[in-house]
Order: sequence, then structure tokens, then C-alpha cells
Amino acid sequence: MGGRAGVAVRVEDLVKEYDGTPALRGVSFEAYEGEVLGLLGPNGAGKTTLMNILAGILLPTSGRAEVLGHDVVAESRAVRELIGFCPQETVAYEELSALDNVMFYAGLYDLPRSEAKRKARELLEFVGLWDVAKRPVREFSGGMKRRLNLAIALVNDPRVLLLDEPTTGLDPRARREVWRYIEGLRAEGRTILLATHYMEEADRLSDRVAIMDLGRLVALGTPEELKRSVGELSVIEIEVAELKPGLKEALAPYSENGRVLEDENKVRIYARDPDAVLPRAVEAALKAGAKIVAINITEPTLEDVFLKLTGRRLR
Amino acid sequence: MMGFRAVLAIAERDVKSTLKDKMALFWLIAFPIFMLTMSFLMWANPMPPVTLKVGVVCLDSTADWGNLTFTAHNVTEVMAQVNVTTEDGEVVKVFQLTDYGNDTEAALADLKGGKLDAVVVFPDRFSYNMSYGFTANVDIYVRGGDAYREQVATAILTRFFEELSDRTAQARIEVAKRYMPPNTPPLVIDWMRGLAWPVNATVHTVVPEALVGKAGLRGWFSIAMAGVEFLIAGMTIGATMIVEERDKKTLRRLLAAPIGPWDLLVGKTLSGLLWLAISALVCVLYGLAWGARISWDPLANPAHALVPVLMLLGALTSVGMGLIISMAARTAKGASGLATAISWPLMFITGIWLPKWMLPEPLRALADYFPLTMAIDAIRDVMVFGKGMEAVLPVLPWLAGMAVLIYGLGALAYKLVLRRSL
Repeated sequence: MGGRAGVAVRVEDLVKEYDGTPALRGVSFEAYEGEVLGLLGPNGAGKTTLMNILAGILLPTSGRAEVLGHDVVAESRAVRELIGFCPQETVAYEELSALDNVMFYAGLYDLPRSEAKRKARELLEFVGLWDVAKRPVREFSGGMKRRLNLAIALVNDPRVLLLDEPTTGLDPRARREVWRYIEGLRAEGRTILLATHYMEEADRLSDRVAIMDLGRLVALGTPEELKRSVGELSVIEIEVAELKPGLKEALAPYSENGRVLEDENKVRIYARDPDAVLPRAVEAALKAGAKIVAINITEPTLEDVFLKLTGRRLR
Repeated sequence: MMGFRAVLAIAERDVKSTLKDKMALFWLIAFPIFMLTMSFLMWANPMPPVTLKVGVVCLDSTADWGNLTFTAHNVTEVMAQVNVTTEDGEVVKVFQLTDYGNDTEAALADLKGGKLDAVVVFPDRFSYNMSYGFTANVDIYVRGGDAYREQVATAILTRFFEELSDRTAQARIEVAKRYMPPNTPPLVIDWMRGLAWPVNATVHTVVPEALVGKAGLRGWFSIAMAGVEFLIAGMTIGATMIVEERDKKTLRRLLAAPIGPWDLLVGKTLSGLLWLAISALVCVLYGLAWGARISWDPLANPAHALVPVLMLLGALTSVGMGLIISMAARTAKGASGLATAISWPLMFITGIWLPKWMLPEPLRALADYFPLTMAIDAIRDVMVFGKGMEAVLPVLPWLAGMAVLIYGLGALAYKLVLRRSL
């Protein structure tokens, strides 16, 4: 998609420091109109700081950013009129109803009352909350609150949506539900910047992914491009009953460049010729005392990309 | 540029949230009702008249002679009939008498034992001396140990016998006139009066305004309670304005909307002012329900039209003070606690809840210049004590200046807290 549409968000050498501590160290990228750009990185990568600057909440230390041609510092109010911002926290007032909340936020965008009412109904229907619109938000589940967050972010019908970790803390079912609504928004042609530390989320929802780490943008491309950057490698994923000390070291000689990724009770190694490597890796694992539960040969994920780029795991 | 609709939306949202907050409603509505009820029952009543328990001992052998014009028994009868009528029309006897015959020892024993407040002893020949124009002595014993009761008993009994003495003197002069030649110059009669009353002091009772009757006292307390609400709730509203949004995690989202920081401040201040007005109205209506003397009639008294202005200035001052102290708080709970910790002592030492005349001198000086106290005093002057513009106009410039200064400083503090909260 990049290159075909106009630029919706332009970030140039953006730096943000908190009392001398850098949170963003010269980030530059462009997001095109109608695309979903995933900002993937672990906690502390600078995603939320970047979102806050784009939303006009924080001032950058240096560098500049534009949203739909408006400078986020000099034309902050114009930017805030154009964007929809969905922070990771529940932004609804829990003591009020969903309807009251959407109506309130609509008022902040100078919508007349009748228009706000119509908009609130439309949005609550969109996120499937109209039936419970008059219930206090405190009675909502985590997933319902995130959907309400989305509705609130859409109250001004924004062309650019900033979604900051919209599914953090949700169970997988609720997360998939939120994804469905984000996909619906993508289908409407809105530009979406999606900050997340879930690689499945970035992979599934993003047209392009910007990988961030320690305040830097370390890679940018489509998920496929990024995964290809790992090399023509396959991933051998060995699931064990229990991760034992020494297993990682035992498998390292069989993985390309010695990279071994441990994740819960799974170990991932990388191989150009998985059929040849697999028997020897299994033997090494058994010798290291591992009780093998399952073996999969898969393609690399964004997690693997992150590991390759930073030497560390995403989470 | 300030967005009118955004400000209204913020104010409306804040009002609705407060409406759902049981604790806030307690402090704004239930607390003043509770405090006023307690005050009306405990303090807002004029002191009832005192009834003295008096033992009477008669050692006068002439009291029962039968041919005397005024005897010790007559004095006792008069004492038994002395009474006062209260504001509510209740008739209260001043003396509750107990006859001890001629047993002085028993009477004094009861006095020491606390059964009596005083003992009146009529010595021998009291009746004779009274009837024949001589000096009739009376011995009065008053129980000590409680300076207040002692003073009261002494004053009442002394006053009674002075009155008795005066009337007796008047009667004696009238009798003496009958035996004088018809051409006796009036100057002689006046001279005789001078002998009887060398000094004629007239006592006028002046009651402090705050203590003028039950209705006045209740009016005083009702307005005082509104002042307490302005102080405590106003400071809390100011102190929690930003940190509450930060705690609720709504602040970032609010600031991502196309509103300015002043929209947020003005919207939340409007909501706070509305709740303070409601709380003040509750105080006034509840006071009126208890018969408090509170009036508001701007047509009859133009000073009443300035009461909302006084309230606004007082409320802005309190909210401004809250905004300033919010700089020292990290959480809404902390801000609320800090506001309470500061406002409660202020409630007493600035003369908002206690009359200023009850304060020691240095605190009275503080109360004299504390803007909220001035506002409340002025409101009370016009609404309870019926004063006019003379009670409002002198304090208005100072109040307006202080409200602008304190709320202005509060707004600066608000900006700092806002920046720190992101």
C-alpha cells in the first residue's frame, strides 16, 4: 500500500526526553492514508510516548510530526479535531452509562446535542453495546470497555485513528472481538496507527509494521517483508513438558546463528533445512532431559524478527 | 479559544458523576443536614431562664404578730410569684422555695450538699422593722464552688431584694407624705427620694445579634453551615480537579480532544459551583424548615441581590485554595485528605463555624480578613439580621480582589499540576 496513497502521518527524527532520559531517540516514518500501521515493541519501546505526541498531549523534545498535513505542535487543536485517540486505559467514566460517556465525548468535539445523540447510537450499535447503552460502565466486562473506548475514539468520525494497545489485558476471546471491530474500521478506509506488543495482533491487523525498541524504530515493512528478513529459515518449535536448565544451550548448536527462543514451554530454533536438523535437535533435547510434548515446523513470526533485530524477546 | 459546548459538556459530566458518588453527596447534602440538626438541638437555643432553688429560714418572732403591714411571710409569697416568660411563651418561676422553718443548720447543710442554690434567712424582728420603717436585715447564703452559678444566684437574689427595698422605700415615702403639711414643698419629697435612692441605675440588656432568639440563632447556624460547605467542599473540589481525572485515567483522553486546559478548568469549576450552590440551598431550606430567620427579597432589600455575588466570590476563593494545595498531592485520595486536613481547622479558626467574638485576638484578626468569613458574615448580615448595602459594599472590593488573586494563583497551580500529570 505504501507509496500509493497520500501521507496521513509523517514523523521526522522525533525525540522525546523525560528529565534527560530518552523515550524516543529520533524516530522517523510515514503512514499512508487508509493503511493500518502497526507499532510493535515491548513495554518501554516508546510507542505510547509516540502516540501521546501525535495526539497533541505531549510536546516532543525535538523533531516534528504531522497528521494530515498539520503540525502536531503548531496546529495541535486542528490535529486533535482530526484524530481519534484510544488509549490503553478505559477512558469511560465508570459511574456513568455508555450512552452518557459517548455523549460527553461528543460534546468535547462541539457536536450539537441532537447530533451527539444520533452519533452515540450509531457508534454503540457499531461496537455492539447499544443494548446495554444505559447501564453503568462499571458493570461492563474488560472487552466491553475496550469496545466502548473504540466507540469514543470514533465520536468525531476521525480520518486518523491512534489505537494505543487496544487489547492489552484482554482474554483471547475478547481480544479477537476487538480485532474484528478494528478490521471493520480498516475496511472503512481510515488510517490507523496501532501500538501493540502482541505480535499476532500486529501481524493480523497491520498493512505494515514498524518495530520499535528502546525508543528507536528498528524495522519497517509489511509483516511478510519483515518475516522474510529473518532469512530463508524455518522455525522448529519443540514443545516440552517443562523447560529445564541447559536445554537452550543444548539446542543452540543446531540453530542458525545459535539463536534459541524460549517461550513458556516452547523452544524455537531456526534452520535452513529443518528435515536434516530436526532429528539431531530432538536427540539433543532428550539428552538435556526434556520431555517432548509436540514438534512443529513453522514459518518465522514477528517475534522471530524482533529477536533477530534486538537479540531479545518481544515480551 | 474556549469552546462553550465543550465547557458545558465537561460541567454536565462532572455534575452527573457527582450525582452518582455517594460519598460526595454525603458531604454536600447529608453532612450539612446532620450538622445543622445537631446544632439546632444542642446550641441554637437561647439559654433558658434560671430557676434558683432557695431555702427559706424564718427566725423572725414578729412575723406572726398579726398586726404588721409587711412580714417575712409576705416576702416569701412575693418570691414564690416571681416569674419570667420565655420567647416561646413558657412561664418559668425564678425561685423554687423550700421552707425550713427556723432550722438554719438543716438549710445550710442542704446548701452545702448541693440541694439548694441559696438560703435566705429572715432574722428576728425582720417583719417589725419592715412594717415600722426601720432597716430590715436579711441574710443570704449562696453556694460557692461554681463561679457561674454563684454569680447568677447572687445577682438574682440581690436584684430581688434591691427591688423589694426600692418598692418599700417608695411605699414609705407615700405614707410619710400623708403625715406632712399640705404646703410642704415638692423639693422635700424629692429630697426624701434622694435619700432612698442616691443613685438610680437603669440596666438595659443588649443581646449580641448572633444570640437574638432561637430563629436568629438558627439563621446564624444555617448560613455558617453553608460557609463550612463552601470551605470544605470547595477546597476539595479544587484539590481533586486534575488528580481525580488522572486517577480515573481519563486525563490523556480528555486532552486528546480539541479542548484547551482552560475549558477543563472552567467546566469543572462550573460543576463545583453548582454543587456548592445546591449545598448552600440545602442549608438554607433546612434552616427555614426549623424556623430559622433567613430572608431573601431583593425587591425589599437590594443588598439581597448581591448575595449570589458574595457566594460566587467565596466559592471561587475556596476552589482556588484547593487548586493551590493540589500541587502537593499525588492522588485524588491524597488531595481530598489534604483539603480536609486544611479546611477543618480553618472552619474553626476563621470564624466561619464559631462566632468571631469567641476567638482569641490573633485568630480574630485572621477571621477579619479571611475572604470566605467576610462573605459569610456579609450574607448573614443581610439575610438573617436584615442589614442593607452597608453590610456588603465595604467588603465587596476586598472579596473580589482576593477571589481573583486566589483563583488566579489556583489556575497557575492547575497548569503546573496538569503538566506534571502527563
